[in-house]
Amino acid sequence: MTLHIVNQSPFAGSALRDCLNAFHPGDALLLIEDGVYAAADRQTALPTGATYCLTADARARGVSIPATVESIDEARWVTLCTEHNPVVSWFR
Amino acid sequence: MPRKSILAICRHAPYGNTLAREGLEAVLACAAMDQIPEVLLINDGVFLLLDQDAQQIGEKNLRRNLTALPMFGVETLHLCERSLQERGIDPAQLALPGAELKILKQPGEFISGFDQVLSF
Repeated sequence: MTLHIVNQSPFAGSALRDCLNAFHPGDALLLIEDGVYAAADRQTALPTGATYCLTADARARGVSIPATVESIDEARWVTLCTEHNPVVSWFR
Repeated sequence: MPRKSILAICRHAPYGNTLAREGLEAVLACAAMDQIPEVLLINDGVFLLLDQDAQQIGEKNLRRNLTALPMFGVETLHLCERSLQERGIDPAQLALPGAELKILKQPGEFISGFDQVLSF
């Protein structure tokens, strides 16, 4: 199943919305860089049990991560990439 | 080693930024290297199919680049049905010489079947 990686704030562009439109059951979503602001977005429902967030990027931005999102480090990111195929970037 | 399947996702409209052009150039580059990718037009990428008069803004017509794809072996364009509906585009009005247009109800399922995905 696909690993979707989003690096844009949902308040700035369409990357997250476009990603969720192409999200298939069993896929995983990883929020990195400004993508972590999605954790603060009250309008957008993130896939439960399948959404990950890079801890360092969230902490750096002061974004608190809800319980429904799993906070991960870079090593776990690499593992996610090996567990999923393909990997799709939703950058810009 | 078996050849890997490649999908190019084009989700940006032409002219506003360079991504739409870069995407089509990457598709042509893949095809020229004998790695013919599948192409998915989704979100604003479906606007690539509209008839265009890019001379009006001093640009080269990107739809013309699309029409070159069949000559390079890309004979099917996949379109996201929901993206077309959201933008008020009637698929019956769309055509590309030499190419088959396939409308997808489940783009996510389609994407998950590929080995490599290029995003533009």
